[in-house]
Amino acid sequence: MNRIILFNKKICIEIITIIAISISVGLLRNLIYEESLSLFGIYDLKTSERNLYEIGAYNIDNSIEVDAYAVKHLYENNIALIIDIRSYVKYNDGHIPSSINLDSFNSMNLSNPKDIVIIVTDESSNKILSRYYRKLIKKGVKKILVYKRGIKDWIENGFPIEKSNSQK
Amino acid sequence: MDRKRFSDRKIEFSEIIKRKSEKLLRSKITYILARLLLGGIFVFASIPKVLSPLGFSQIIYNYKILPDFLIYITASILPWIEFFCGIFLLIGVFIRSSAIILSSLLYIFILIILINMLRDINFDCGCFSLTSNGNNLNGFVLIIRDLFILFPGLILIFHNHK
Repeated sequence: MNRIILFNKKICIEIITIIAISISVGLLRNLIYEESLSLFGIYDLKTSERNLYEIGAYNIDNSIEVDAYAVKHLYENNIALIIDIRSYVKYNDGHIPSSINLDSFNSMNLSNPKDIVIIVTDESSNKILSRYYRKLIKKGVKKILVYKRGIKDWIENGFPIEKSNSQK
Repeated sequence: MDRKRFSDRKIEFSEIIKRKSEKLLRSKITYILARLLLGGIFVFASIPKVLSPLGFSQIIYNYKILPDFLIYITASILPWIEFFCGIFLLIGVFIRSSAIILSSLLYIFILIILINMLRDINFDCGCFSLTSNGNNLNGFVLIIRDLFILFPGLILIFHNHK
């Protein structure tokens, strides 16, 4: 019966070679590439968050997109909290009634979060969507819906909007 | 009498199956297919991680298995190990060594998935993509998939091909 020797000298040298090549290339790539990591640094979630939008992590694609009617139903029945992550100017120009802006969201304590949160966004705000998505998950929100078509679609459907006179 | 004949036939049949499968597993074609399959899978899987170590560090962090100071270094090196082993398998050098490394990695992945299933930790697999597209597989499916990928690795390790 033929015996297979798993680890002879040749195999060991080959394994060490492969690992050495991989380590060298990995470190070299880390040195020359702009997205370099401090290799023995402590993992920093904030540093890593800067690229969230590019890498698409944090289940953003996992979120459920909703339409104007669903948003209206949820807000009228006080089922969901609506967060408008657009700029302050856009928010003040007109927002969905009872929705809160970024300022209120950052300062509010979601100690008792509603089960559903709707994020209202537009094309220019999609970049920061992932950041708030993660924050909400951390605060214990169970279901996050995204209203990507945003306020434009809301108005097109003939639903009421609210205007603010905030100085922000 | 009939019963004996039936059991004899059964033994004969299982012997034939055994011989045929052994022959198939030892054939050169199986060896080449296993090499290309395992190599291809790992090269394909490593590319997103090689391109974005930062994204991969996020995935490793979510597994909550490594201490924080090892996350970046693992994210920088592990994808390259997968990549080079895959490339070596595809071009046909260092075959057994690459298969040993990749199979060991698969064992470790299976173990990590099992641990996280027991701890009830929700994680993105991050095996072939750093993005989560809503098709997150559950732990059992991941383990079964990894076992399937492990199979060609074992063929390459234990094959007596000359």
